[in-house]
Amino acid sequence: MRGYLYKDWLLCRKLVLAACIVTAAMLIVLGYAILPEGFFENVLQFAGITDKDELNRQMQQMLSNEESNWEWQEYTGSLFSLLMSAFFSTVLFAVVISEKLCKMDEQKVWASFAIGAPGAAKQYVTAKYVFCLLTAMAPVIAFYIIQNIITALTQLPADCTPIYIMGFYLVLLLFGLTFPFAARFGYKQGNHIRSVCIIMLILAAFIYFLFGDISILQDSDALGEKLYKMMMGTERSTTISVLLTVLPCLSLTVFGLSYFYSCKAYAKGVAHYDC
Amino acid sequence: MTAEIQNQPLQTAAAEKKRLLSAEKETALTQAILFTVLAYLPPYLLIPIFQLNAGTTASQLSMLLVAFSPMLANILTRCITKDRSTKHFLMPGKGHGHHTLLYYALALLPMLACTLGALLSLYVAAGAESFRNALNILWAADKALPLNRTITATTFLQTALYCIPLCFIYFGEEYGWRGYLTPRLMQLMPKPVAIIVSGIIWGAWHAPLTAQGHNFGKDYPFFPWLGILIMCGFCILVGGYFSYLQEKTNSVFPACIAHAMNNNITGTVLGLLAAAAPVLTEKNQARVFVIAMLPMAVVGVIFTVLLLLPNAAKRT
Repeated sequence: MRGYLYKDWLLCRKLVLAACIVTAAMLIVLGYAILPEGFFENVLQFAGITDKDELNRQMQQMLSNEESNWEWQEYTGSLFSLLMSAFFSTVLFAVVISEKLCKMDEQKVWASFAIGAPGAAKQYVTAKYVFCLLTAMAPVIAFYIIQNIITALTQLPADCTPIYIMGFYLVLLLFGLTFPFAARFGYKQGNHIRSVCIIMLILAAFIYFLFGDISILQDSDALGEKLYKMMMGTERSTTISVLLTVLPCLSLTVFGLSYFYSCKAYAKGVAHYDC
Repeated sequence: MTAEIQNQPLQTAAAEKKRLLSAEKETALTQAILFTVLAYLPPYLLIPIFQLNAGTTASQLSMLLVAFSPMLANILTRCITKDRSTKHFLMPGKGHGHHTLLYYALALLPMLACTLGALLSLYVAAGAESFRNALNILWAADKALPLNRTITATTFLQTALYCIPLCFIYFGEEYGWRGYLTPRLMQLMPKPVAIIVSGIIWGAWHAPLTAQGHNFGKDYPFFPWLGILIMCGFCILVGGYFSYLQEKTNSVFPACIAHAMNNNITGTVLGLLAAAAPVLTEKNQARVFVIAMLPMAVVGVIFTVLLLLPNAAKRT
C-alpha cells in the first residue's frame, strides 16, 4: 500500500502545491483588504498585555455588544472571515484532489496489473481512501494550528473548530459518494450514474421545499447569528448542534459503506476502462 | 587440536552475533535517553516559566509546543543519531488479512470506559439521589430547557466525532511514545519491563502539568507527588493498551484516536454532569478524577495482559 500512496502523491503533488500557493496568496491579499487599519499594531500591543484585569475588561466589553467595543467586533468578524475564506478554498482543493483520485488511474492495462496480486485490489482501494483522509485532514490541521496561534495572540474567543470539522466530513462525504461509481463503472459512466442520482435528490428536495417545513431557511439572518453566537460560545443552538452531529455521522457511514463496496466492485470496474 | 580448529568458525560467528546485538542495544539505549531528554525539555522549561492557566499568549503558545514535543523529539533524535530505521509506524495498518478495522474499533473503547468513569464519579461524589436528578436533567425532553436530551446526546457525539479529525493533536505524543520510545525500550529489556518504564517516563513527562493542578487540582494530600505517582500508574496501564493497538496494526493512528477519546470524553461528560449537578464541582477534584479514571485503568490492565500473553506462551 505504501507504493500506491506514493504513486497517488506523485500524481497529485502539483494540485497540493497549487492549493498551498492559492491559500497563502488569499490570506495575504484578502488580509490587506479585509483587516482594519492598524490591526497588526493593535494585536502586537494586545499580545503584550499580561494584566489579567485589563484582559477581562476587554473581553467583557467585547461580549456585551457595547458601541465602544466596535474595534474588537470588527477584528473578530474580519479575522475569522479571512480564515474561513482561506479554509473553504483549501476544502475546495481537497474536493478537487479527491475527484482526481477517482479518475487519474483509468488505464486498463495498468489497472489489471495493479490488482493482479492477491488482495491488491483491496490495497489499491484502501490507498485511495487513506489519501482522501489525509487530503481532508490537511486543512483541518493547518487551520487548527493557525486558529490557536491567533487566539493566543489576540485572545479572541471565537472557536471555528466545528466549521473545520464539517469541512473535513464534507470532503469524506463527497468522496464516498463519488468513488464507488467510478470504481464500479469507470469514471465517465460512473459520473453519469452519479449525476442521475444527484438530480433525483435535487428533485426530492424541490418537492420537500414546496410542501415541507422550511422555517429555518426563511430567516437566514437568524441562522447566521445563531452560528456566530455558537462560535463565540455565548449561546447553544439545538438546531445547529443536531446539524453538526448528523453530517459527520452520515459522512462516516457513507465513507465506510462506500469503502466496503468499492473493495468488491473495483475489479469489475477495470473492465469498463477505455484504454 | 582438530576439534579446536573446527569450533573456531562457530565461536567467531557466535561472538560476532553477540557483538552486533550488544552494539544494537547500545544504540537503542542512546536513542532512548536522547529522546527522553529532548521530549522533557519543553514541558519542564516552558510550563514552570509561563504557567499553565495564566491565559497569556506565551502560556498558550508554549502548550501548543509541549503537545508536539514527543513528535519533535522523535524527529530530532533520528536526525542526531542518524537513525536509518524505516519503522515509523505511519501506515494505517498491517495490510491485507490483518483485521485492521477490528483494532480501530477497539480504539473507540475509551468512549464507553470514560463515560462510565464519569458517571461513576458522580454517583460516588453526589450520592444516588443527586445522580438520578442529574440524569433526569440531562435527559429532559423539553427542548426549551438549556440542558435537554438533544443537547446532551449531540454534545457527547460531537466530542467523539471530533476526535477523529483532531487525533493529529495526539499524534504529537503517540508518534514519540509508541512510535519511538516504546519500541526502543523493547529492544533493551523484556516487554513487561519496557511497558512499565515507558509508562513511568510518560507519566513523569506530565509532572509539570500535574504540579500546576492539571487533572487532579491542587487540593489533595502530598500535592503534587501523589498526583504524579497516580499519573505514572495510569500511564503504565493505558500505555499498555496503546502499545497493544500499535503492535497489532503496526501503526500509531489507532493509539492517536484512543488517546483523543480518552482525553476528551471524560472532560465532556464531567462537564455535562457538572452542569446538571453543581455539587460535583464542589467535591474534591482529585477524588472525582481518580474515580473517573478507574474504568479506563481496567481497560488498560486487560489489554496490557493481552499484549504480554504471546510472550508468556513463547516462554512456556
